[in-house]
Amino acid sequence: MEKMTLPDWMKEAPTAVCPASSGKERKGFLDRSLRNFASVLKRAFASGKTKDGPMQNLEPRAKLAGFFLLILAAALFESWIFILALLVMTVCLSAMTKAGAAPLLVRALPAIVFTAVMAAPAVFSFVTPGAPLAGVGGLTITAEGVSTALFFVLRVSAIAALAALLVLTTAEADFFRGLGRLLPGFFSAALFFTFKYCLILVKTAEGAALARKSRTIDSRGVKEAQRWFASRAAFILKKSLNTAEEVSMAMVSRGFEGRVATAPAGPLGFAEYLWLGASSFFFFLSFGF
Amino acid sequence: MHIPDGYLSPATCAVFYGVMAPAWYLASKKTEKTLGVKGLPLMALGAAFTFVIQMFNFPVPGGTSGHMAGGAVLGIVLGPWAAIMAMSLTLGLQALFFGDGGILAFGANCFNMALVMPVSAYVVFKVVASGEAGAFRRFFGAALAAYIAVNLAALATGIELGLQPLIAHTAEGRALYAPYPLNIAVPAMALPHLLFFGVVEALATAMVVSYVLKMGIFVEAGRKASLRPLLVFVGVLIALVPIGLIAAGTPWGEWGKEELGQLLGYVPSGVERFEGAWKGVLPDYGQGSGRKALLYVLSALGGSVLLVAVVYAWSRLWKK
Repeated sequence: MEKMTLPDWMKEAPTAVCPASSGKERKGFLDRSLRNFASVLKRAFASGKTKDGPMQNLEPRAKLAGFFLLILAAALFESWIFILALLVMTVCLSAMTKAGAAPLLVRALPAIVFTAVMAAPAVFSFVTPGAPLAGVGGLTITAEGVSTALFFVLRVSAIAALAALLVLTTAEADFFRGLGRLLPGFFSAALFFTFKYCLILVKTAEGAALARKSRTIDSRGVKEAQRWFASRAAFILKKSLNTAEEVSMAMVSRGFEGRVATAPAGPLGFAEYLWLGASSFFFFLSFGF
Repeated sequence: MHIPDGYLSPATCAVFYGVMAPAWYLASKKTEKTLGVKGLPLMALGAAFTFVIQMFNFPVPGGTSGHMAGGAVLGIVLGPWAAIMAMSLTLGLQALFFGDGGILAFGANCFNMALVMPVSAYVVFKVVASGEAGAFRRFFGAALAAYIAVNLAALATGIELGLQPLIAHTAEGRALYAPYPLNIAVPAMALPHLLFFGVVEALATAMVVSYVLKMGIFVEAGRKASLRPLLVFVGVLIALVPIGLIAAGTPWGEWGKEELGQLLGYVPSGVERFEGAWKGVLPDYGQGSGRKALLYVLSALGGSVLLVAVVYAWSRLWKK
């Protein structure tokens, strides 16, 4: 029997002929932007599964109203002590409610870092004149500038932490139920639709990017990438409009006449009144400090 | 361009919620009238589309890239009314779930990106590509519309941020919110958009609109509706918003005896007799007394107890 041998070309290490099969990370604009955004989006959508804790069990409408009052208080306070107290209270609440300080920091950090970078030039005398504190490369740092920048970052940090805690302790369904009782039904229903369809369209966009990647041997330059972007955006728009048509027909066939009805709200318990009382206390306090 | 919370004073945020409330009402009514029951899914999917295309980075020569805002595409394709609603939904979702833009600043963000951007893009595109426009005029019209729209939105954002040190500061002059005055905030917002982001938005919008037209998917929900109410509304806003933002002095109707005397030339007898007759339980939140801080805390406590009582009574009545 003749001995079977593999041809030489099959023994060679595979060269990266197709980016999709090469195992290498391409550093193209599509990979970078789509993958990052899609993962953030999916993480946010997956946050519907919240850990069980006292904040998580609050009636959604009362919880949303309370958080809104606290965010408003953080925006109104003129005293850094009270804003710091709100921030500390938010971090403590995140630990108490099992949401965790680390996830809270992860969610709030982008806003804090962005604000810190943005506020940095405010420490110099050309933005905030005042008593000189130090000099850097011919520029003077003022005491007033430092306090203005720190105060600004502190306020944004407190608000970002509160908004993050709200999302971390509220399941997706509760969030929209709460919104539906505070806002007109039309807006909350449209927001819920948007939320759901985002995930569908993201999958379409990811599929389009993967299809392009698997068909592409080498980068074809900026013009081709621009054309691809425009054609896919138009395709996603077409898919959106087609889906809108199908959804509206499905809604009409199920008796939808243009009015969005929301289920009657349940009674508020002691915990909800306590939460509303505490948050409104901070809100009223913010008028004086 | 998404303004986070803490950058604008609550008074500014309230002004923009006040500005956007009639715009949202008008847009929802117009969309309902022109699209009927299709309006709800169309706006939601238009919003989801904007959300998704913001995920793509548009490549520009030189190895760099930027992402689209998407307001101009929506304005041109869906028409101004549906675009106002769809962009507002996108911004709402971004603010609530992703912390991209503030909850208090939502009204201001909607003014910049859901009102100024799509409406100006729609108007410019209509003017440039009016009549039987060919492919080039439509491409150019969409590019110009997007460039103008994104720069107008950036200018509005710069003005809003730049006004903060003027309207919200401590007695010593320290800024309480965004610290940069107009001469820094406006160029900081306008220049990158004039030189880079505007170009990205223009090129991307023109290419997307060209493909949209080629595919024959032109909805333009507001085609049959007259734009006059919107233009009048925007005109009034343009006239009133800066006045409202920089206005100093006593709020309308809250004048004291002396101010009323100066305004009218005389003090009405009722005002003369009753002003100051009831000073409240804690007048001026207790500012007049030496125990100011304690009285403030008591005022806040009283207010929160009252609010909880009102919510309790409301929930009881609602059940019945």
